[in-house]
Amino acid sequence: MTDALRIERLIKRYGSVQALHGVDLRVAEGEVFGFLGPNGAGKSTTIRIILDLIRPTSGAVSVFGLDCQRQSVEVRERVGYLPSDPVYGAGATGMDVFTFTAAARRQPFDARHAGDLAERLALDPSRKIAQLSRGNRQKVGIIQALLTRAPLLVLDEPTTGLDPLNQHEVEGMLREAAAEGTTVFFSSHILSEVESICARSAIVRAGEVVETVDLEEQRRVAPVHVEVELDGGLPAGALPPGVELTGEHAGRLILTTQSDALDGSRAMAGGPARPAPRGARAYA
Amino acid sequence: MTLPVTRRFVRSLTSSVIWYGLGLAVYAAVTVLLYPSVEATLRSIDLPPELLRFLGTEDIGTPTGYLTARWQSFAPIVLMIWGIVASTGLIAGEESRGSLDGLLSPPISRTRLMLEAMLAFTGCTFVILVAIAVAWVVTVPLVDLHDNITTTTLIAGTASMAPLALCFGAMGFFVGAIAPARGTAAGLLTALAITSYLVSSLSQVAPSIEWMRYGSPYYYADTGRVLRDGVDWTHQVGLLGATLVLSVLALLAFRGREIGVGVWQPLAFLRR
Repeated sequence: MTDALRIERLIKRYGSVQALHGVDLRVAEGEVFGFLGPNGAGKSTTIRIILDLIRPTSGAVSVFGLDCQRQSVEVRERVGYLPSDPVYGAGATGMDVFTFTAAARRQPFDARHAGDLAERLALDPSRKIAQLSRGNRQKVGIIQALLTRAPLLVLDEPTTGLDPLNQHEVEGMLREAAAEGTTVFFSSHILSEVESICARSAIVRAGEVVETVDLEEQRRVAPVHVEVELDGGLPAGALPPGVELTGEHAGRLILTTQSDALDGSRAMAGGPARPAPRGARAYA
Repeated sequence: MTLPVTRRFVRSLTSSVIWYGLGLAVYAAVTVLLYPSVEATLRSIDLPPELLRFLGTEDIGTPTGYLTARWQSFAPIVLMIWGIVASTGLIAGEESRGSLDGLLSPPISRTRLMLEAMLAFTGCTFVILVAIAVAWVVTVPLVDLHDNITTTTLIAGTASMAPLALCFGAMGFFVGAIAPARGTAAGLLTALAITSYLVSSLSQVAPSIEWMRYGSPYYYADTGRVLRDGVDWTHQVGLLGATLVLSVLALLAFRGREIGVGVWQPLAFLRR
């Protein structure tokens, strides 16, 4: 299967400053991929090279097998893009931005879909961009990217400036897009955001990918603590493989297991097991 | 063909077009309408011939001389400034504001984006010239201009400024494509426009610098001669040729430009 996005040995220098030191990564079709790193790590530089806004010093970047520099127009046909700080013509409204994007892409404008997305994000698209807050401008940018229905969404810090409710809504929108087969590549400096919606993520620091993390695998093998209540105590040798008794809490047994062994502990309990009331992230 | 980018650029220039068009049209109208009131005074003034030549005329008391001094030497400067402000405002201005990323994210080639910007600029320049022509059509019949100055002559004189405005527009697109920011490009070109005007005007009174005027785009607009001698097509074609060359350089430079980097990119047109 062709990679939705492939970056190989990407180097970018600005004069004497080296912004990227050989970034390598691959994003599979349909994947939600997080590009995680602190400010100045090279996330936006990488994204702007994908969009052919800046040129790499060396290395190769391709989208669905198309070279991002030599076949830039064809690449952008397949990409919905949100810049890191979306700025639009001062006199334009959000609706103007949506209709412009559709016209420039020679797509019919889906007013209903635009209205639905705007409603979900509590955005009034008839207001002039100049009157909008940073967060509302961000919403305009997110909606115009989603309206493209492009097979690859490249989003530079999509939740910046949004309140927690809207962040949650945007995460939901990205999950829905992914469920429909869209590949999502987005940058962020917020670990929890990447963890919550991505299948995989690359951690970039000082222009280098220092680690690529399979978050689904991590979630699968992460320790899970489960409380179970058993009639008559725990029979000898009753624990299934991969399940360990780690304590008791309020008359219940606390079992620790990996998430893929969870079904075994549930089966053993003969009914629904519920997560132990300790630290939300550590429990199933 | 809907040309959404052209429409977007035209929209961003609309307010400027209205004010430049209205301002120049009013200035043109007032200039003509005031002639009967100032004619006697102007005929009685005995200005030194050097000053008259600096003003671009030989006899400020005649309608031809008066309109050359009051209109033909002023309007081209405004149109040069229009060319600079409008052209640098479209691409370099969008880049400086940060909105060029959004314009380049749809599948539109940079060549097409630049061509649509040039189309929008040319169309808007035409609208300004039409507004001035309307002012001539309305006001010239109301005033007795004695000699051979007619509405047609004035429209031809104004139209002959178009290649100058387009040439500075093309310079704006080119310098905007290699300069770090819109402000740098506009500032440099404004200095060039003023220098061009000064060199052309001063060379009328200082033979030692006469050779310099051949490097001045303003000289080729024939602002001081067109009402009296008619349009010099060689000069007009020369300006349009320079416009074409600068436009091609602008297209090539913009194709290779790195957006939002904020540095001089003199070799941008060598990049793919």
